[in-house]
Amino acid sequence: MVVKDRLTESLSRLIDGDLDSTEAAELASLLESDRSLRRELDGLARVRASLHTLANREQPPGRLDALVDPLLRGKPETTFARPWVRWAAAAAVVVLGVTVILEVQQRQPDPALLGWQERALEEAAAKPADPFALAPLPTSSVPVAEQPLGATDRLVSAPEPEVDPALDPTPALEVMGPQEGGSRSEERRQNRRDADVAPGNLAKQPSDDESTSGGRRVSEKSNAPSSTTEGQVQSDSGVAAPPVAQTQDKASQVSPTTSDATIAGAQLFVFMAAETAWRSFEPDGPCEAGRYALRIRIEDGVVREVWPVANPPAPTRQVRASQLVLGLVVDNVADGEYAAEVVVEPRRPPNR
Amino acid sequence: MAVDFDEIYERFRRPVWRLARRFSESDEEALDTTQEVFLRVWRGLPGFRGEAKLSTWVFQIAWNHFRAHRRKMGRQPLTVKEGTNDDRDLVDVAPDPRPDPERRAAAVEMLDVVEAALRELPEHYQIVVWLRDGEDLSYREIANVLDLPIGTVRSRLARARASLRQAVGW
Repeated sequence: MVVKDRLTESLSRLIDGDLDSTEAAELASLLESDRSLRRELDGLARVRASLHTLANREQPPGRLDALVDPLLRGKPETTFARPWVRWAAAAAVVVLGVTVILEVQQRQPDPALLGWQERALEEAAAKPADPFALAPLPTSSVPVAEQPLGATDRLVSAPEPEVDPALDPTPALEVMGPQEGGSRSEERRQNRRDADVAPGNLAKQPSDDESTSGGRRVSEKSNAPSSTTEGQVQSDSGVAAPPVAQTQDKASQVSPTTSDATIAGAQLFVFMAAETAWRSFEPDGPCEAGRYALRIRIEDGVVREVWPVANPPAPTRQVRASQLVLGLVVDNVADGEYAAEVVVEPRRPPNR
Repeated sequence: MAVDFDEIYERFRRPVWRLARRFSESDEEALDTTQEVFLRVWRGLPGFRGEAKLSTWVFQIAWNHFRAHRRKMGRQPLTVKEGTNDDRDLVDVAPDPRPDPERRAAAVEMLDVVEAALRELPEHYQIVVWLRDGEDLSYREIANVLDLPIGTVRSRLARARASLRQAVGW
């Protein structure tokens, strides 16, 4: 079988002229002696000729030239003309475009891509004359002092406000209270009973009373002040009341003669139904600066009774504050009982 | 090596078409595959360095595409197609003492038999014998196109021809 295959291969090679001279001579001697071998060689040659004829009779259709024509013109449109290819290409272009747009928006321009002139200009513009100088605030041409309050740049450029260390917020929020252990109604009744306390007595024993009778009601029975000082009672309606006489002997009766050097002045505020009346006065007794809530009774334009309204634990200073306003003239306020407040201002240091 | 695509197309349009038709089921399919082959040639032309023979390069592209296409279509074996009436060389191929009309009819019939027998051959025999006898490629060129040793080409070609001879009865 192997020999037969070798002979067939040699016959096939002989047809194609692939044998060398030696192989061809050997095969020729075999062919002369073997008729079947010659018939086989003839059959193989006919096969080859038939296949060659088959190849020659096949002509490509004219449509092939039309299909390949875009390639001949350098435009391979045929493949791209397929619908799915067009759709895929369009989708890819859209995705690529969106990606490029997003990237451009997110990225700064690459300095390496800029020209050297543009880079030099940008560096010169970015380099400050004084590297430690602050850039000006983006304010308007209006001077800072004239700009309206509340503007952001005004807040930024305004100097830091000075805080007076003498203004202790704790006494400023301190309020007066009743006697210990009593409710508000009991306090009022007790205060009413204490209204009988004579001002002279209060003046004679200020320290002892202050330590034991904080929050109790104090009153001035004298309807005729012995002396007056110039004062002015105003209302927040804007109308200034004429100067009226103020009791002068009250200070000697209700407070020590030595005045507190830290007190600069005081105001009395009387809270009426629709408006508030106030006046300034010189505290003639020792009292810490602060705000003191009171209730007062005015009779004939003079503070006749004062009593605390809140409930603080230590009543010492409350009594002092009550004594400060006792006998003050507030003649533009109708007689009656009012809520009031005494504001004792601290003396500012000379350098402030 | 500067090769013009027009020149390639003019030279290989018929061989590629014949190969396509031989390994396709219809003329439409052969047209599509032929167009694809020339598109690949067009795309690959800038990279063609001339290291291989031009015919080897084109047939290599064609054969790889046809084989991939047949695998994709899942077709094996191919069906028999109708022949054309271009039988001018048939008289010389099949000498017969009968009168010309009878001889021509017999020759056409014989060609159809040969083609039918060719299509019955396994693909690796069919392509070897077709490239040699149909397209006149040398053994070396066939070996390069099919990426085979030249001895394998010789043996496959001999077996293919012997099979066809037996199938036809020569």
